[in-house]
Amino acid sequence: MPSLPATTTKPGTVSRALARDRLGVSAVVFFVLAGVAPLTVAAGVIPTAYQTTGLTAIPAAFVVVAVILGIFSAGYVAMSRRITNAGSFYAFVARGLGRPAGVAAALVALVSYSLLQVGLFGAFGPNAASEAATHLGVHAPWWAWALGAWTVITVLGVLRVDITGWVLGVLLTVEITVVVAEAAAGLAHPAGGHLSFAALSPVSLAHGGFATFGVLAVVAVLGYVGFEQAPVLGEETRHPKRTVPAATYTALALIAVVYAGAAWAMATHAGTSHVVAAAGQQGPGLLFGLGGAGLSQAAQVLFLTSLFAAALAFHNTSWRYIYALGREGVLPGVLGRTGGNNIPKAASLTQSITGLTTITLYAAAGWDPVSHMFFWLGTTGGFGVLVLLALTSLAVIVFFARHRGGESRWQRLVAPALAAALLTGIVVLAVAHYRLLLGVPAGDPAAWALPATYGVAAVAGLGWALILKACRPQVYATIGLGAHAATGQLTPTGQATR
Amino acid sequence: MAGGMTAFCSWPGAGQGPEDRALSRLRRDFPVFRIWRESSPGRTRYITRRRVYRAGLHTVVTDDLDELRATLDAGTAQAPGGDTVRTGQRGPATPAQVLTRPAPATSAGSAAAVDREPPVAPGLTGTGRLADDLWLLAHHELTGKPFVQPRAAGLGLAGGLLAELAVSGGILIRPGGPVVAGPAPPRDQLAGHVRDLVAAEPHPVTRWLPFLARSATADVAWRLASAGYLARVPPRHRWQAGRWVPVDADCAFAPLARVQSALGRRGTAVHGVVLAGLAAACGLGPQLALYLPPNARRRIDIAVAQLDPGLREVITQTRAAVDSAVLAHRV
Repeated sequence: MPSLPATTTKPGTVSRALARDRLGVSAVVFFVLAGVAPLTVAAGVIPTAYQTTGLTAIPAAFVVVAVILGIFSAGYVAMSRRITNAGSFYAFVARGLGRPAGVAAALVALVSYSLLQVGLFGAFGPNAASEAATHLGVHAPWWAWALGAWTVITVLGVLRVDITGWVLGVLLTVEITVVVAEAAAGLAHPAGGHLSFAALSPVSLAHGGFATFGVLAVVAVLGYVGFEQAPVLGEETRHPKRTVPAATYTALALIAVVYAGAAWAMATHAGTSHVVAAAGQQGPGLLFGLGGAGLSQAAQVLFLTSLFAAALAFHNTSWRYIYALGREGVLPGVLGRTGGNNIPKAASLTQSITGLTTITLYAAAGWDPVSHMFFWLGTTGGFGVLVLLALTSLAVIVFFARHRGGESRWQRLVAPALAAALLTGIVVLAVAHYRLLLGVPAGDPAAWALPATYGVAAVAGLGWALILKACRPQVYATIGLGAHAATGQLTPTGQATR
Repeated sequence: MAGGMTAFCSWPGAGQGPEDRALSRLRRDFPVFRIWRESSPGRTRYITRRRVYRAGLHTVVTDDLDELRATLDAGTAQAPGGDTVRTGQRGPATPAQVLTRPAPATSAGSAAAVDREPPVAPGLTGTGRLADDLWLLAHHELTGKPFVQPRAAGLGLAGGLLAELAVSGGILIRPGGPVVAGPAPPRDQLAGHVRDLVAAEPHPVTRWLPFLARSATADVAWRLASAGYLARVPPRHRWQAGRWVPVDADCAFAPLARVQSALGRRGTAVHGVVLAGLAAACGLGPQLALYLPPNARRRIDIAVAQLDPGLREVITQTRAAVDSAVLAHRV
């Protein structure tokens, strides 16, 4: 028999022992940043945004949106300490604004993260195809490479639950280093010979009017999506009250600097008046070309790994939502069950089917993968997350109005109110000028159809919640609790409320 | 004794070489002992274990049949001795290891700790303990490979340890957490240890589960090994860890049959229902689905809902802990 610990335990033995297995801030930051995938945004989103929207105030937008998201995070992390299933937005909305709103938010979230994930295949495919054609002499259509990545992600999704942490950590560190190096190189060689801070200043945002700001804010939010995932690991950390906020703010600050810096470097290097045209010609090469040939080559390879890692991270986010909803009974129960080895195969495969359908659709219809799949679906997904952020801010206010618990007024009222006002404003602006975001002429159906999907999802969610209330009240009662649906608890250490 | 061919054990009639004949003679001459052979690449060992727990010669492990006979002759002739471990030296071969009692836990200040385990013999009825049955359910009956991830298995077995104590009356699961009940400490060391931990610090079930889960799998495996259900198999390569392998495949499969019969009866046995609930909670649903009727999941839910609140709490918290671990990608 191995030695059992001494039976006379000192006070705090259990706490100390549990703390040893738990994560610190850096692990959570890595987890968050791996989902954000900086190089994907810096090389994928920013040049495409320059080209598609034709607007040049993108660096300023990143800075301003970072501040708004920081304000949002104050209330968000404060509430995440108080609720269970804090890794999902819909839990916040369900506890704050009521269960029907929670189900609506859940469906909106499902649509958002799914779109974000499948959109990435639209960037991976063409880039992998061009890299393979250039360096390996292999000529295959973009959808073949996209399907290849899809297959690997599907297989990983049914074989493993744990993320290969250190692999992603290493890739992430190298990614950030490369982006910073490229940006530094770009800033060192500005067009016209001198550095202009014009693109960084919020004044340039005001020049374009509210339409500009709304559109650019959606692009910026798209870049930051993933920062909200810190509470997913909240229960696994040593000091959740400190670690989750620290990780959230650290990640926000880091990626704000990286994105604003990269976007500014691109605008500076090409010249503010030429950057849109340059982006149209070069695409991701706009970032890669900032530095020397070796850096450029490394960046191109890392771009592919970054896209893959981001697709995997959003795949994980999607199945987490599906699994939690299945556990509660909001979605069919089979989706909330694990197969062999505790792997939620049904949830993972559901998301995989969505991806397969989308890739097949775009391949068959012959639509352009980069602009129509990656950028359109990606920004629509980002728009959905923006809606969720606004809803969550409102939910935070209402929750703390009902459940006072010692949070400061800034956390429970001022910050979420400010964030709610700003985010709602951006949502309204974005809906009004969605065609600018997509880069389509006025009257194009995509400009109203894509945002309308969220309206449809929200209404369907509300309807489904009311049906559940009437037909399955015990399921209705546990909406928002996720894994703790059976226990009916408010917080993991709280009393059972059933 | 139900026989089953395992990868490592040989049974009477399996072969007719000289070693097999010597083995058969030993079994005939010493019926009090259970003697079997374990083969691994490059090494063959003979393991002998007394069928019924008594003080005195209990377990012998050697790779030399003559030495085994000599030891058994000496051991059965000798009066029961104290807590001694003797090793015989015999040239370059591995010396025989002779244990006169199961080695007690080496926790500080417990040199006088005596295993208060009642006499048990490996059999189809099992040890009668929940966590033991759950361990056997969670691992393959031939290879010992787990069907669930390590943390899920740990959480399930932690729930099993708490449920064991609750069923036997050693602790009471209250809404605020388990409290010690009943004056008599449990008869086995692991359960007594858990009971002492519960007595020392008050915590809700949600904190006990991850704390106990850290070592539950290993502790319960050792308890099963002491009872004769598991044998340690050395790893094939140096960098791998050794594995616990069930000694008797039928005995290892028996807990599933117990679950099946517990769900089929009118008055459902608490042991079987709690076992089924914990198995479903830690992710063994697919395993159960292979052998139980199609509506078993619902029957388990209904049966669990009729348990005492304390036991129900342990099962639901185990399920919540495993699901949370899945959602945090750390299962």
